[in-house]
Amino acid sequence: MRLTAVAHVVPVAQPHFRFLRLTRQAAALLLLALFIPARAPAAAFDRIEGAIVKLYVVKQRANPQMPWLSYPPSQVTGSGFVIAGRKLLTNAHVVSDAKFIEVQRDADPRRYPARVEFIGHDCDLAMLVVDSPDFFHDTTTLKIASSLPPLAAEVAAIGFPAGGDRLSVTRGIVSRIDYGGYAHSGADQHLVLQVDAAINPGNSGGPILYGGKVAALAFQGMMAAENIGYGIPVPVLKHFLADVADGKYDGYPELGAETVNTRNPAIRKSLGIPVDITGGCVVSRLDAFGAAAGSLKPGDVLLTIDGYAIGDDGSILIGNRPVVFQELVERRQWGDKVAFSLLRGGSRRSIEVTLRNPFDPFTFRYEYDTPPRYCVYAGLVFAPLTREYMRTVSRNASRANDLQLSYYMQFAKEDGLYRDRSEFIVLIRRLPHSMNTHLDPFVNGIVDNINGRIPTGVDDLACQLRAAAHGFHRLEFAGMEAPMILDAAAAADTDPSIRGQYGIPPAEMEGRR
Amino acid sequence: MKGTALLLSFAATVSIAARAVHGADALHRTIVQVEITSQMQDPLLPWQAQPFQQAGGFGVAVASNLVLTTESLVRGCRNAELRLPGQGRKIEARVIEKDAQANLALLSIQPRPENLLSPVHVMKGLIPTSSLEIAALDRTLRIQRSPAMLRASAVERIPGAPYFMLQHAVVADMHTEDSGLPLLTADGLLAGLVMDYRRADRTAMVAPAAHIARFLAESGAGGFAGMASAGFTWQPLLDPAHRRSLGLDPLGPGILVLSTLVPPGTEEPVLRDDDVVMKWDGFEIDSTGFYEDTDLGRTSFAYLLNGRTRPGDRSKVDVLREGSMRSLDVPLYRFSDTDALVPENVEGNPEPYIVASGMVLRELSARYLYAFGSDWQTKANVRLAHAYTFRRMAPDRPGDRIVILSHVLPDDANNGYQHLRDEIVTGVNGEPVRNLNDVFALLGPASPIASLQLKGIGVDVSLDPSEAAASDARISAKYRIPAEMLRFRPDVAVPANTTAGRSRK
Repeated sequence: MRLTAVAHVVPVAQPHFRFLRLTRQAAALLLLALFIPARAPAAAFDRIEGAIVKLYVVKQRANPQMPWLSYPPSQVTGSGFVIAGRKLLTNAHVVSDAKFIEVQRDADPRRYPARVEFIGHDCDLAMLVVDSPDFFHDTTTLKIASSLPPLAAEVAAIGFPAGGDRLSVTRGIVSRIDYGGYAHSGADQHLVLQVDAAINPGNSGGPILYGGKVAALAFQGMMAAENIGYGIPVPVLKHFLADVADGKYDGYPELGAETVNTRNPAIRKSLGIPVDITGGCVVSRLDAFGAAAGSLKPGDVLLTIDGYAIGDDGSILIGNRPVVFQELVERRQWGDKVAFSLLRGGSRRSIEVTLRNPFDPFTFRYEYDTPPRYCVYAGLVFAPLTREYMRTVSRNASRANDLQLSYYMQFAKEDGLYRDRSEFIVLIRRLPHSMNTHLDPFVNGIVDNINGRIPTGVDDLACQLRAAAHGFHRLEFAGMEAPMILDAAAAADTDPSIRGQYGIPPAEMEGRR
Repeated sequence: MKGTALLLSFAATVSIAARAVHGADALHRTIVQVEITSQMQDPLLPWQAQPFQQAGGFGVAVASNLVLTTESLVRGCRNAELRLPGQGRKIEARVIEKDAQANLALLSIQPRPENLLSPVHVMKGLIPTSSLEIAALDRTLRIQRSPAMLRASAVERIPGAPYFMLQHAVVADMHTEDSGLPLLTADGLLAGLVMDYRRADRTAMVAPAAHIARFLAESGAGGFAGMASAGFTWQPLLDPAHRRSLGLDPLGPGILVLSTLVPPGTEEPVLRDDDVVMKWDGFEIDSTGFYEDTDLGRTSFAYLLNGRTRPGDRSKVDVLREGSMRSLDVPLYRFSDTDALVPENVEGNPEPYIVASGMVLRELSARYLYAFGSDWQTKANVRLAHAYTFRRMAPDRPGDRIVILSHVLPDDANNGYQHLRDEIVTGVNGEPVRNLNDVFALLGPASPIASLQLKGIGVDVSLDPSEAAASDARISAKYRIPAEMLRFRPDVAVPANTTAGRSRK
């Protein structure tokens, strides 16, 4: 399910402070000196401990404002655990944009190189493999629980959080099971398990155990709140594992149907819902990129999904627990079908929707592991509008264009701004040169068309800019009444020297879709 | 004893900057202290007023019963009182004329007092040539005179309002930042009225005598006609490539017309989008929008409109249109804030609203957005903030406004809709609406709201009309809204003479 807003939720991978940190060996000695255990750990915990790993990850991201440049590599640490089949599970945010990954068990001083086999940014999960067979010597595995733990169940979060170098165990209870935002993508929400066990930076990817089995995978906490940590619960873990079983990760299917409740008797009457029907929610908008487009229609009153009665607030009862009906979609994979019974124009119908989730550039998830796409021409830097770029843009009155970017990102679909476009192209920067010295007002403007034609993407815009050798390019920007005029010959003449002046790599290195 | 020490200390401070005048002063019945108690409609709960505020400033007598001050001081005035130098008594006054475009206001004392005020005469001409001083009252109501020096005269934005007019920038040492102080010539004539004083650079922004003279003359003859507008937006035309593409000399004159509004009483705007204005009333307009004024030197071309002409005049404009030069006869009129798609309403006039079955409907205005705080750009609904920022002056048709469902006052009647907030209303009862007047027209006593159509939501928000009266009664009681205040329609919600619509490209 896509997220509408995420507030104050942060992933909890730990930045690596190279110069402040004790070496692992020194810390181990210190622990031995101070905390010699009174009795040996239970055998059960040995088994658990043998499955937990610490991840050392070197990451590097591109600078969204100057996408041909990279930020310096940074090292983070996180946690993970071994499951059956010699696979490791951790968070996507621990290993996204990774250039180099090593894993280490608490009982083994050696680090082993690892690599990402599957990564699901929409559910913040990743599966790693370690090629060295030595790593698996004495390694144990953890089992995924078959179901969610109940509320108030006692759980333990295990991993390598800040505050020390050795394995850490914190205990608490399940405080809440709910839908929540997944901060890693910034645009998704799924089931989350809230616990009051301390979850700190470095815990990311570690297991939350209930009855010796993995009930969830620690992944984020809430700022400005006490004892609120979140785990990715069993249903989401299982969905990920089932998804990758065929050798590729498809991601969550998206129904793409927004609904409103029918609690008000007047809306029920206006929709012609018979009085003997007490539930049902009404489709208010369909997402062109969702699975329901072409099957459902605005105004359809959804009565059941796969036989579950939908309440007037859009909830269904599963195991006597009310959950939003989209929960059933969440449990499905690409290609699965969900069946609705609905009222359309006062008549009952049954409709099956085949689930899918095609690439949707207007969801604006944070993007990882792909080189940024951009185009530099005549000192003008164009790039697709992304959530990452928006993070660098402030929204204030003096910069109306920034406000417009926020509007386009938030209302792309609701206000139909995306129509006829495959992405929003933004002039993100001007590299000052006499060629473009009067073009600052266009920075952070959204390209509406070039020479009367809507570009299909940054690549297409680059082609059109570079194609003409004479005459003028006329670029119109959304919301701006004056066009940008470029002298095609002058732009072509100056482009190489501006590239040289600012150290811009050759155009061939610009990311392509 | 403590009070005496404070007074002595204050006197010592001001004597450095200003010459204190003891005893009788020629201005002692001319300059007055103005105390305003103001109260405005609450933008978020429009059926109630905001807490009242008190503000102080100054004024200058321009007739035996009239005091000139700034509009920004008297904004939202509920009570006005005057005090004269050396007098403790307060004199009741009322606002009889004000204009935000000129930032000037007239206060009247009723009944006309005998010999209470000694009016000042307004200087003739535009630029004062003699030595200048700004007169003020200190906290003991003694007159202070501060030498002043005219630094520049330029078209600037009026403090606290989105309007531009010619202002004098005057350097002076003053002990107060309050507005309404007179700028006086050596022979005691009024050369301007202080609208704003910045202590940091000791600069007062002053409304010039020419504007004041016009304001006073027209106020006495039926009302101030306001500033002239030709109803178009423009931008400098500096980019050589853009100029060459239009067939213009890269270094030559001309500014670009961006959009135009249809003037009153006409079908089509005379100026058109993409025209290049080369000359205005014979003055060549350079590519940045400046011209060489005979009095002011290099000045913004806006002065040719709001300084040298008035509504009802016509201007001769030379434009380049599609490669050919044309000479146009452009009518000038007063652009009213209420002609905008999203009015600023800087004056804080009560805005129309409807509370029906708990649904609070109103028109989007800048005052509404500003109610979200100084960081309204991040706090207010981004769609509404965008409409204000990008489409404020661009109604598709005369009278267009953005009708919003600002929030819902929870009640049984609106169960299921109580989460709705800042949604754009496109229709009521299935009929499209362009402004709240349309909604008033649709809703009579016998026609309550049966449905709302909201932008981006493909399902009607339906309400039970038969429950409307009972719901309104409950909401009136629960939320302390007098029944007669559930709807407010100003005398002129959308001006009857509304004319300004955007020309379509």
